[in-house]
Amino acid sequence: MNTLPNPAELRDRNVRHTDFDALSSRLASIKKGYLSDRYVEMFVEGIKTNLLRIQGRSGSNLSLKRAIRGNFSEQSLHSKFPIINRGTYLRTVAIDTIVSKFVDANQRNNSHCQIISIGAGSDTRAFKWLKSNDQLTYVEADFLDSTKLKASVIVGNQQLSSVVSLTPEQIEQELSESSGELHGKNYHLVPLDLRQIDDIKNFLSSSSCIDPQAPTLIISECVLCYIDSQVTYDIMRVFKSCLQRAAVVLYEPIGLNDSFGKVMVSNLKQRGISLPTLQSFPTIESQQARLMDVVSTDDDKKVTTEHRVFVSDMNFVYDNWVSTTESARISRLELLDELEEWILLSKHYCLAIGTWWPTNIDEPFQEDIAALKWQLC
Amino acid sequence: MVDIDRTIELIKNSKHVPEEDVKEICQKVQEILIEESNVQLIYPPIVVCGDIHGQLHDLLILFEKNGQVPNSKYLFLGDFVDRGFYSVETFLLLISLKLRYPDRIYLVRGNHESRSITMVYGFYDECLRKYGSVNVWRYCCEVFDYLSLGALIYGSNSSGGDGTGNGVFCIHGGLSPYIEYVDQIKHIDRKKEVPHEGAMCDLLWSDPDDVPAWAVSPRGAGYLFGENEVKKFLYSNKLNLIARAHQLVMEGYKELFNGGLVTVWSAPNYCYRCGNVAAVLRIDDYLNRDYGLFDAAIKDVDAIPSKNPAAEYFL
Repeated sequence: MNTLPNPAELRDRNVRHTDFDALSSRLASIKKGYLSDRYVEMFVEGIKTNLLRIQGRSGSNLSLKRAIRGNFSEQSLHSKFPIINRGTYLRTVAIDTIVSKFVDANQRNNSHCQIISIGAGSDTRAFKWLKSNDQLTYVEADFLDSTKLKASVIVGNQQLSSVVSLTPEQIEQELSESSGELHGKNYHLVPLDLRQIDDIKNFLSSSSCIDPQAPTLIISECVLCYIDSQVTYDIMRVFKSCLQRAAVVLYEPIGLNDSFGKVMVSNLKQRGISLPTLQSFPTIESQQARLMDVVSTDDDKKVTTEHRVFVSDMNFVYDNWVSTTESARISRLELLDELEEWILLSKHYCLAIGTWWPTNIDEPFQEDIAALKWQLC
Repeated sequence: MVDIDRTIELIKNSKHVPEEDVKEICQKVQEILIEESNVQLIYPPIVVCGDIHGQLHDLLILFEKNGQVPNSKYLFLGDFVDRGFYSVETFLLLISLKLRYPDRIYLVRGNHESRSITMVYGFYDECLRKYGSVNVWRYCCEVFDYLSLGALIYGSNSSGGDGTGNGVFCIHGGLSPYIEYVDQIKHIDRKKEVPHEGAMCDLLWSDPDDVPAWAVSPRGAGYLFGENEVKKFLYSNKLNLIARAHQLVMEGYKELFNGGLVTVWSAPNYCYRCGNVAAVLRIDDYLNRDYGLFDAAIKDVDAIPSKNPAAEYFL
């Protein structure tokens, strides 16, 4: 018998489905030549195959099917506007730039490092970076439903499961009983509801996946923006208190204070999506203050830490991080009909980084990030 | 034989227009457009409108606020199609009105009235979706090729003796380094797809900017031109204003270079996402300007009866 989901379940489901928007946007921009990432196509195929396996006509299954069909039809991929393809390209390369600085700095030091991607959904970044770095551990956390889907895609694809070094037994086990949890050599997929602060704390402090001493990069790509602002403080502070040397990277919408931002809020409300952090941190200055608040928090660790915060809107990132050759290549891919619209849209998203590290350690990553151009730092 | 008054009513009520009628309207309107010169001479009073981009409901508001055709005379500066969900209906309405009242509505070509651009920005897909084939898109593209490139609005007070000029040059994009005098535009063979470079391309693609001289446009087509180019053009052609569209303006319109140029934007809440107001430029007999602002007809994206997904964001 079907039961109607309660409003909180519906909200969670809508947020989970934003992952399909992101994945289909990535596929569209790959097809147009903005990005190259062979794992994205594997994921889309895997998710579509999964769709065939979904049995039953419960409300959540039907809505999942609808979301998948709606996002990955030829029509929907073809009809992404150039401005969306460019923005998808930009968010991907911006975060990849940070990841690359992080991985390189630790490679120079020959030190082991870890990336924790929260609300990772069907993101493929882990595969790209694990493939070429054996000093890196990549941890992905998300809602159980999302990690189940991701696990099933990974174990269903030989290339994906070999990148994360899963044993045949592990694959067999996940195939026969879906747990939504995978542990490869340097890869961990774990179900975690980010709003359960104690669960995060337990995971960070007692899981063998995590090395609290290792340099860590925490990525939230359009994730914390869906969570109550106060709770996002709690989430980031748990990371701060459990990890000795880390940086948190946020990519999220800003700019509620103008008509574009108001329309964004009302349009997304129609889809049942709310953006609490947009209300609380509508400017790059407020994002800066927010992260400063987190990274400068005194906690019970014995070591004193230094901390820094960097913030730019995405328009600034495009103008200052993308090389002339690369932006010429991007401009040639598709004619952008409306520059003002691009400026408007890209100014309504920001990239923000907060870092902390013990004073007695040189932090090369820190210096590399500071060497990039920032609006606020 | 198509009943044009009935068709106009159909479109205004968001009803489907049969493909056969579209074909006939497109053929007939070509016969009118072919007679028009590259730069049409028009007399005020007139309402000058910027980009519409398939936002049919907002176009209907525009007519409501500024007078229905033929009671008011209109000049539309191109970009009728793409981006919005009702490009077919918007373009059909405008050419049907042109067919019915050829001296009360004038249409100038925008950079989106092109085969290649409409294949990327929605009009092609919309035709395919609404008619099941690309015939309608083909008929419309043939009309695009006959649209004139610009217009000159002359004041009835034709003194112009104070050296300030007495006319408004209207164009979708802007100036071209190849065009010093308006008369030179008349020599362009316009009946073709918008080229990737050259005078015709520039007129439809260029933008004014704070540049000392002609500069490369970041759009990849057309040029950037500055105050010097505008002053020179106005002086050489004895004009006092360049009215153009092509660029989103959050406030609906924006005057530049001491009022020598104005950008008019007539698509409110552009793409159901930008949150901007829209404007028209009303020009009276003495070429006095007056701007009429208006807001989006549809506040609620969900109210758009379309299978299209709503405005997209990065999620």
